Amino acid sequence: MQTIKRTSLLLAGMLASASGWAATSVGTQIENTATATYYAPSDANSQLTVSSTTEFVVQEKIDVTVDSSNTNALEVQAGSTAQVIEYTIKNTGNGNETFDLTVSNGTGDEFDVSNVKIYLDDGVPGFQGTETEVTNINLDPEETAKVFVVVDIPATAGIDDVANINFNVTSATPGAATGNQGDVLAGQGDGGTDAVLANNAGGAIEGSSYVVTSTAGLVVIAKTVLSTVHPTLGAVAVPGSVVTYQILVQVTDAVNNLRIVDDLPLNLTYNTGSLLLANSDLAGTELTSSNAVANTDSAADSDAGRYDDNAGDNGRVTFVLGDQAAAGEYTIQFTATID
Amino acid sequence: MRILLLTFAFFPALAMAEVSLLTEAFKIVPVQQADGSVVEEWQTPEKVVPGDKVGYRISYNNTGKEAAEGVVINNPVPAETIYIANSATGANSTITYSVDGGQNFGKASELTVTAQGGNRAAKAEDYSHIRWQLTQPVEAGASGKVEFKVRIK
Repeated sequence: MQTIKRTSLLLAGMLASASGWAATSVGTQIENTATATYYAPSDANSQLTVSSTTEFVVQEKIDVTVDSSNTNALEVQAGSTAQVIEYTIKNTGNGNETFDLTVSNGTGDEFDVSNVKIYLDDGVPGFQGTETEVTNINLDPEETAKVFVVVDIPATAGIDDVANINFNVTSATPGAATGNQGDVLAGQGDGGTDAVLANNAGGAIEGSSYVVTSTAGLVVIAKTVLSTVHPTLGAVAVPGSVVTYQILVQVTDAVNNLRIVDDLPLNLTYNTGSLLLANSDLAGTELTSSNAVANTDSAADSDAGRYDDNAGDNGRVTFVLGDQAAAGEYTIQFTATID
Repeated sequence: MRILLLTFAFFPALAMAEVSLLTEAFKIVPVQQADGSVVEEWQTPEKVVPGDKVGYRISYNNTGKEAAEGVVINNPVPAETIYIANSATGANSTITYSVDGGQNFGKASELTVTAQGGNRAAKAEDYSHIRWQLTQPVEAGASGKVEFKVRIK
């Protein structure tokens, strides 16, 4: 019975602390003075006694909250870029504090988001893309800040697939990141006080989710220039330089008669016999005959690749990939020389 | 002769009640016991931060030669703290509270504060002062204590 009563008192106390008092500033001296009045039977005049004052100094409490604007999963399209979730961070401690901001991939989901960036709100409502990218934030007690976590959704994600992330706000005070709730960081508080870690070691974590509600289309193609190298001058785009192109083909569901067609730009000359095909996502990695299969330029053989000098404005690369029974990825590579 | 006179002059004072007070602060830390229950321990007030509970103990001691009667102990709720409801204790005492800076005192159930044009029952966080009226005289040489708890804002 005693225990139950005490527990309920503790709970009541927690509620009180969460009820929104501004935290007492670090370094505040809290004094208490009791007085007593009394009289003696032999003297009707009351006397007064004043106690000695007792005092202690409030130390720094490192505490922070973070809330997301999206309580439900953000609905996204597969392959979409710059998907934004807004977070509000509040320094609920009683000292000035710098907090490190990171995003980590959650578990129990179907895919991971990519190209994760964090931007500080510039005061203009919404995310414009012109905000400053940040990795940490400095806040005074009770100060709030808004940040945007911006991610890309992979094209391979399917309908109803979910990605979970955690937005982590961690105190930058030495020792906080590896500390636990209640740890005292001697001398690390403002003004030479000690710093005490509140919940989550003086940090906060907010989980968010993305759910794919529409696919990117069945096939997503991304063409990039892997390198531009001159035989003697190095990585410059001058006549004689060899440009290596890559085309990443992401098939998100079954399709038939898949054919990838790429017309060469003007002022380039296709390098004969440079077609390579890999049955996986090797975008960014140079394809060779060891990690990919060389395809001939001829259309009259069984391989998928071919080059037709007479098609398009300046020649055409075509890969006939045919029927695709399921999702998959291809990487295509070829080279051309600047005229 | 002179010494005798002086002694005589101070005699009434020595005969009277002489109550001293000692105020101590403690940081209240919930400590889980082996059986899983949580017991609050009163520790030295180091590393106190916002949200912490602090306990105050006011000890009184009658060092005089006569009983002290009508003893009333007053304690303002310290600045930057909030009184924790029902936390004031004291043997043989009537505990009352003030919500007007110590001018008027009443039992917790009787106190009201004005808010938004009307009156409402006072909450513990409205209390500005705590008062213990001892119902028994403090005999010569006797001592006792009263306690209360606050939370650091």
